[in-house]
Amino acid sequence: MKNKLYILNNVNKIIHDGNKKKHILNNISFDIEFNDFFGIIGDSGAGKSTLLHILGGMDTISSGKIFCNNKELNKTKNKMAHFRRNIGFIFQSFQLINHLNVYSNVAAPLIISKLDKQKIEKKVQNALINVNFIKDRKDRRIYQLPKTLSGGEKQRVAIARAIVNNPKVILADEPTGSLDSKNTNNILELLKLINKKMKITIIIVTHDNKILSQCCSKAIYIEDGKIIETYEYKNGQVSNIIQNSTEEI
Amino acid sequence: MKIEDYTKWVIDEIKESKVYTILNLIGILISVSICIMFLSLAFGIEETTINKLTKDMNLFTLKVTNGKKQIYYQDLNSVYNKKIDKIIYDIRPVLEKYAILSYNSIENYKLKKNNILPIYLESYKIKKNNSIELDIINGHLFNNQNENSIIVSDITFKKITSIYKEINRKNFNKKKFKIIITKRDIQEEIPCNIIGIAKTTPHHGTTAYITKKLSFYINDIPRNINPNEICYTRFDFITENLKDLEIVREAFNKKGYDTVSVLDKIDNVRKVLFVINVLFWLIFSIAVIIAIFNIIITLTSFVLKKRKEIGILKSLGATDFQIQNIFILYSVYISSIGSILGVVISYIFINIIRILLSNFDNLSDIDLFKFDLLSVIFVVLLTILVSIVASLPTAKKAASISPIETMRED
Repeated sequence: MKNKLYILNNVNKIIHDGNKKKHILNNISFDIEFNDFFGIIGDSGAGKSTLLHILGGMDTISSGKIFCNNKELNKTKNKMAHFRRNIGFIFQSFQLINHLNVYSNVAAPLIISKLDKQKIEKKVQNALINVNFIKDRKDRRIYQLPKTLSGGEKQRVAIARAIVNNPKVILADEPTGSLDSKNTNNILELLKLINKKMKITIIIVTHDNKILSQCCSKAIYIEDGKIIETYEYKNGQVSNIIQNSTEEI
Repeated sequence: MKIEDYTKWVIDEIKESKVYTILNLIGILISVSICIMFLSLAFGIEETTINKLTKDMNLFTLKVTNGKKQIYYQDLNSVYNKKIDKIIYDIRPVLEKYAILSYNSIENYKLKKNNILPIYLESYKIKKNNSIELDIINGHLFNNQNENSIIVSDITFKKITSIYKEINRKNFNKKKFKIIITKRDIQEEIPCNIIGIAKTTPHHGTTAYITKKLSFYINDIPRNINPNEICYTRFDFITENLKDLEIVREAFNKKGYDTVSVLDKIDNVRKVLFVINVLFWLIFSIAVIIAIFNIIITLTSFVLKKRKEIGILKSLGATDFQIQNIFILYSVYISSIGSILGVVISYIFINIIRILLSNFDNLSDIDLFKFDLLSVIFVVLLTILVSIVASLPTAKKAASISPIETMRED
């Protein structure tokens, strides 16, 4: 329990489509340790994004239990919102606010958390330097609007926004899905660096096996809401594959 | 999030959706300016009518009466204690049954101006039955119909009674004496009958006449008369200000007294104006409803447009309350700016209409609009309040947007 960031016990997510019940997640049980680079892989509609949203406190479960940092996730709206403040999100489509400049976009989580103006300024500049978006504090690029940035730059800004609050975990939903191969590599290297240097756990959802072997220490393969296999990686190679039944990993 | 952060966010949103914002502003502006113009018209008509009714009145009199009980001096005092003594120009206790007792320089002046002089400072002789003249005293004629009825001051009355007592004490040769008070007119002496005693009392800077109703010949004077125990059938309150008259009237009405004044006529006019006012408020309500719909429609389209951004903010940890506040603050800013602009525009319009009306000869002395500051503030605050209420459902709807839904929409 000590080194576990997340513990999931028989998590189910059922949605009602008219009179039909649909199992999005079916008896999911696994855990993630601190500083893991954890991968979730699966085909479209397998339930990997739903699982990520649940881990990030954006969605609720139908049954089962989830513990984060030894605390059970609360289902009340307000507490879920406060829980999300300690998590960094990275999305495939960047999810930047178009009418706010780079600075304001990165500062948004801190403003929501009611931090002082001076602290916000310092943290935002540090985050943007850490993701190599700006070189120093005098760089005027922080006043650019997102529409003037390239895909890779937008994702760097999104990563800066994810790390600005010093979260324990970053949840990345196909973060390289909209990027070319060069930018993909750069972003993955950046995420690895954040994982190692800043000791932030990263959970990445992808359908690309290469990404898993390039970055992850552990990954799960999901199909129809069930964990099929669990992979362990060493030096970019799969070191162990565990076939999972629905009941156990 | 702090208020400045919300403000910054709202300003960014306003910049982003200029067309929506301008349309919303115009809607509120029109509603508010219509409301203020109609309200000003309602107040203006009322004031003009009252001015017309009281055009030639310099002083307003409130006649305070009560059919069941008489008015006591302490009631007069209790009204004074309501801090209205400064607004009272004059107070006159009145023996209404006989006459109005007037002894006031301004009133004299006013009456003299109109060539009416009901006050006579006349001399009266007191004669013994052997017609020896004893003294000369002053009295006031107070009843034009019965010229031999007089009212005298308490000092004069004391003089008369002392003479009477003196004559009777001496009892000249056990003969009976009779005192006859006569009014010395130009040609002849008319015997008079004292029917009233007035005591002059300085009261809060004004002069009050405390009058005792009497009706007897001097020979029948009662022994013990205490003017402080005297009660009256009517008080006349005289003031220069109509609003003060309303305050005094309210004070007396609360005490259960009946009042008669020009305000009764004004009340009748106000009853008619009330119907007009109801009509104006109906128009105001329609304008407010239009403004509410305007705000709801604008905010709804605003929320639809901003779904993605709401989702992002929620994924970053924004609470429902914080999301709601953005939209509520947006409507507060828009309604505040819109209503202030509405006030300015209505003020300009009212003045333009005033200038146009002044060109007509028969309308030049009439001001149909009264720009009442209190009602303007009321309209502005009401508009802001209505905007907040109107924005609440939409703001709640915005706060209920799930971040997952908005992200899946990408």
